Amino acid sequence: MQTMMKFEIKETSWKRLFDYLKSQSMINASYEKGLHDAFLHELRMRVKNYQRKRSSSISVTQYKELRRSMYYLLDHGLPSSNQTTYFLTTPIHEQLLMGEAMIAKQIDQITSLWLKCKQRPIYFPNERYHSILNEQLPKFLGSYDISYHAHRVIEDLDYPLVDGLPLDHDMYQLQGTDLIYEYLSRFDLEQHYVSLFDQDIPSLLNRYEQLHGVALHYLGLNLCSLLIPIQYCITILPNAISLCLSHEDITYILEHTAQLKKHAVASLKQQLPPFLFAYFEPTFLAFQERLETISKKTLALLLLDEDVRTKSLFQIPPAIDGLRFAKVYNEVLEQSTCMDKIKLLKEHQIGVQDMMDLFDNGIFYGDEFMMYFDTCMEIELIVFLFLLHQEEFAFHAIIKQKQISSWVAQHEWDSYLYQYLSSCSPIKWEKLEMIMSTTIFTLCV
Amino acid sequence: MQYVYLPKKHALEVQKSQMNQELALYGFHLTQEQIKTLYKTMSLVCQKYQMIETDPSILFRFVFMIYDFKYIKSDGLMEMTQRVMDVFYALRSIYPVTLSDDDLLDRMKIACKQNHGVMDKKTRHIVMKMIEKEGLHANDDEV
Repeated sequence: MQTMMKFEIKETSWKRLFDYLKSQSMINASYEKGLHDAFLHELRMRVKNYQRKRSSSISVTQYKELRRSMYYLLDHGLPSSNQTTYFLTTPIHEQLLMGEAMIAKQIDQITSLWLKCKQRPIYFPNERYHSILNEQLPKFLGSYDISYHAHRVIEDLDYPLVDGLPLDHDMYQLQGTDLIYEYLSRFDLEQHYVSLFDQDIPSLLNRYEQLHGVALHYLGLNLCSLLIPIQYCITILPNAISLCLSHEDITYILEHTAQLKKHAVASLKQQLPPFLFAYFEPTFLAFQERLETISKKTLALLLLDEDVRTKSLFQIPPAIDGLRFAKVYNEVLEQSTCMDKIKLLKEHQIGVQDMMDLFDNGIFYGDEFMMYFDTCMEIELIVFLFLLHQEEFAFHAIIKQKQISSWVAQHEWDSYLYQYLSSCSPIKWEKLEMIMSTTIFTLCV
Repeated sequence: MQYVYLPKKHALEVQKSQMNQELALYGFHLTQEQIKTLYKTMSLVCQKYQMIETDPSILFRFVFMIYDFKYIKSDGLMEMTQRVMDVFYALRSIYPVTLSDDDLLDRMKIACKQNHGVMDKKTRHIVMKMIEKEGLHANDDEV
């Protein structure tokens, strides 16, 4: 892990060193008393400054935070060698200043790593991923408080890495700049790895969405965890040419796992830069182990090979421009009867997204909605449902008629749609179910 | 081995004797034992309100706040100081530092006079009303 080695995260803690020196009788009682007083003096000064010299008292929680921050600075002030001499000869105030200087250097490293990641954009429409780069890290760098909260990270760091999510920041047993540096170093390596497949990512994500009926970013999954099984398999196959494998390839892999896996890791080692291979080796090995017990269907799903061609793809047309929308809206309002309005809308071939906007603008009232829905094609009704409840369509789930009556309407027209669908005939509902099971809906961007 | 830090212990002693000189003008005196008791109370009150006091000399400010009250008899100084502490830390724990210790003590003094020299929950409420009238709200700059 080339990048991760640039800044060494301190393993020795100041308190542990103090306990060690005390156990070795290198610190006597009077020294300990002096050190304790000096520590308290520094802490009091920090409390005073933290309270803007307006109060000498502080809440227990804040006091503990300031004390933790001081220990964090002292830990970072420790040099990598001659720690004992440094500890015994350097006044505590200087040790704190040293810690601040070391953390300032670490902040510089974090800034340059962050800029490096930002300058290497990859196509991945995941909100959390972009939040890390565009919101959380800049916020951390802009608000980091080295004097009073050096150990604190309030950012969520909620984009999961290949080894999971640093839940409550406990995963790496680190805090403050150490945690950010560790997370960002891993983030950088994973981003570097993903950038190796730069050209294939959009089609891969598209295929994943078609296959599973839900976008990878919607599930909040890590992109590397999708690429690793694929890269492993294309590496061991003799003639793989793309990231998408055939059913024959999958059968071949499963039949020859024992022989193929012998050279797999060595071959991956040759393909990847050494620092990337070092980082991903455990993940490749874990997949290799899993491969022996995996079923054909699971592997096919992992490699995105499940045939999606049996399903038809319905691209929901984008909304029309504002001017055309206003024209249609005014024309509809000029119509005197509901049937005239519906006729006009059909003539203009208004898409479902625009219809929803027109509904919101009050083109129909009460039973007029029911009359409109009665003239809609089955696919249009399903698209209304899809746009209202995309999460229900995830993993190609088929919505049941009973389900609809329990949904809570967000607008006036939703309630009429739910009412219309939950009361439609079994034959019509069967047709709707058929469309749901054979069609993949995607939004046309 | 001697650690190089030299704490300014004598400063507290100087303040103690200065305080007693001032108190003597009003017929009061606090013994070493009484000061110890007050520090003990201060520590208990801080515990009660989840606060930590980092400046021991604040005790003298509590005493100075009330020593010229006409309501206090010579044997009531201790008890009154203890009540001041309770009200002070109760308020300190809820108000941000935009209200300084000195400002808080000033308001407590005014409120105590309004409450006929009694330092109790009512005094606390009077202070809270005064502060809220000034537009400051409890814990509005909590970190």
